[in-house]
Amino acid sequence: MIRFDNVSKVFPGGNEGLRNVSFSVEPGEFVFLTGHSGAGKSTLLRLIALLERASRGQVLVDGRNLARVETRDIPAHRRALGMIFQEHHLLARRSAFDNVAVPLWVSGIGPSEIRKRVRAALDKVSLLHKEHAIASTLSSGEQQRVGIARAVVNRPMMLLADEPTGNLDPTLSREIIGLFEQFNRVGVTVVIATHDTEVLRLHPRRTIELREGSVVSGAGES
Amino acid sequence: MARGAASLTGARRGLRNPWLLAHLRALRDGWSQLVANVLPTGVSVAVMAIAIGLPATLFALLDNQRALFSEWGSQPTLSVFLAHGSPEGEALRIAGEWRKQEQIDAVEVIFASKALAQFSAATGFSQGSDDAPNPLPNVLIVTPDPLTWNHRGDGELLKFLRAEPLVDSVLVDFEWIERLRSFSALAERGVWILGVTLLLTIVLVIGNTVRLLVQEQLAEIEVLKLVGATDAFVRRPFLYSGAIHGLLAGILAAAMLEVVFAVLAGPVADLASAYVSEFRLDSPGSGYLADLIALSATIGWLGAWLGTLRTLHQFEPVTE
Repeated sequence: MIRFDNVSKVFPGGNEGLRNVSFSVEPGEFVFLTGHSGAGKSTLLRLIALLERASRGQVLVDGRNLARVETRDIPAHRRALGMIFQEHHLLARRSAFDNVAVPLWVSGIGPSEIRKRVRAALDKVSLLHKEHAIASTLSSGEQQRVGIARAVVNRPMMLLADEPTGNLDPTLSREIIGLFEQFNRVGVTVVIATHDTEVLRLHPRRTIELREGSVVSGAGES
Repeated sequence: MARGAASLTGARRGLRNPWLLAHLRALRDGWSQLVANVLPTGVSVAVMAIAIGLPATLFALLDNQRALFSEWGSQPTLSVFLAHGSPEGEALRIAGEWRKQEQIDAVEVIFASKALAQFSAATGFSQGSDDAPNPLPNVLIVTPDPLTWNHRGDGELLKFLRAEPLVDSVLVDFEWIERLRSFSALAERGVWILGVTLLLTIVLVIGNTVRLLVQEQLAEIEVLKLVGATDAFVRRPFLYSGAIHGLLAGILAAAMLEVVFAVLAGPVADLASAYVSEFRLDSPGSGYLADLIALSATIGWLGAWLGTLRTLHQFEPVTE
């Protein structure tokens, strides 16, 4: 599903984000990505979502070499995967419903279909009762769940989460990871970047560890 | 508020066309951008209305001036004064000869006696005694052939006319019209330059207004891009916003233009009747105003497009 071959990322200014990273993730797998902050976890996820491009090496997603995806096709690539961010990245002044609906209106889907799918997604994260609440009035855990509902509403093959439990207490963290496990059970590939050792201890899964931009363990078979 | 926001996707259930729907949403978003920024929007619209209304009004006035010229007629004439005391028969003979010339279209003869009678009737002045010599000469009004006539002063025709021994002087009495025409051509050119300059200004004003709107919504734009919105999708509400700016400014400019014409109509009519002219200031028709509004909206759209151009690309692909 995801394959990195000797991928390096050098930022303008010379900072090296990733150094010769190689690993692969199979379809339907649930993988943690760990390491200290600044180890390159976010950069790695951003490369998969084409929020960055690799400086060297190959990134393949679902068999497609991302270097060959032209700029105008990037939006379609992003719509095919679900991304969840630590800072939620919600439209603060819009309702929970609207926030979850965004990927669908971006895709030009009709209102009745949107309504059905958004409500189903909100229901999955147990927030259907708050569909009309403005995003900025929701708690941090609720905002994260809205973010997850938004990520799954397009029924992506893959979910990428960057520190999804970063601001949450252990109980909420367990709930959130539990949600990802639910989606994984129905076949969605999940990659979660986290430095939360508690999460890693409670949910034993394959863990790719990054240190200073290099993979030190858990790369998996290529 | 919460309900209003939610109605975004829920209310128009009947609509099936995704393209139309996307545009309606963008239109609504564009409108709410304006409503959320009433004061800056109002200022931009006013600036734009003045900048577009001024050249539009001047053009409409120039158009009226053209109507005035056509009332004066486009055929220039020359007044040829014959020597004092030359007999009326001679005048008729000369007129007859000149009529045969190719470069002359028509010749009208005004006898001195008739001119005097007309003058007396018109002014009430009469000569003390019927025996006093008539101070007026016989006059021939010559209309040159428009095909061969060179309006900058045809030396050849003048030479030919002056060659007749009985001719005292030739008055090219349309010269001032020609000068006025040149002035008005210059004025028209000036209005064009002014118009184009102001249109560029408007594009920049709208571009800047929209750029500020974009800056204000960078966080939202980033969210849209993160979930896979295309540039076109992100840009659309801003384009509508710019077009609505332009539309409002166009309507305001049209209103301004109508007011200017209403204010000027009375004095112009008075002036025209003082010169025994039927000329009336005509406010431009609804077609002109519709064009004005459409142009203004298009310019707003264009400006908005420029305003979004740079900002959108800063997300592609993001580098930090």
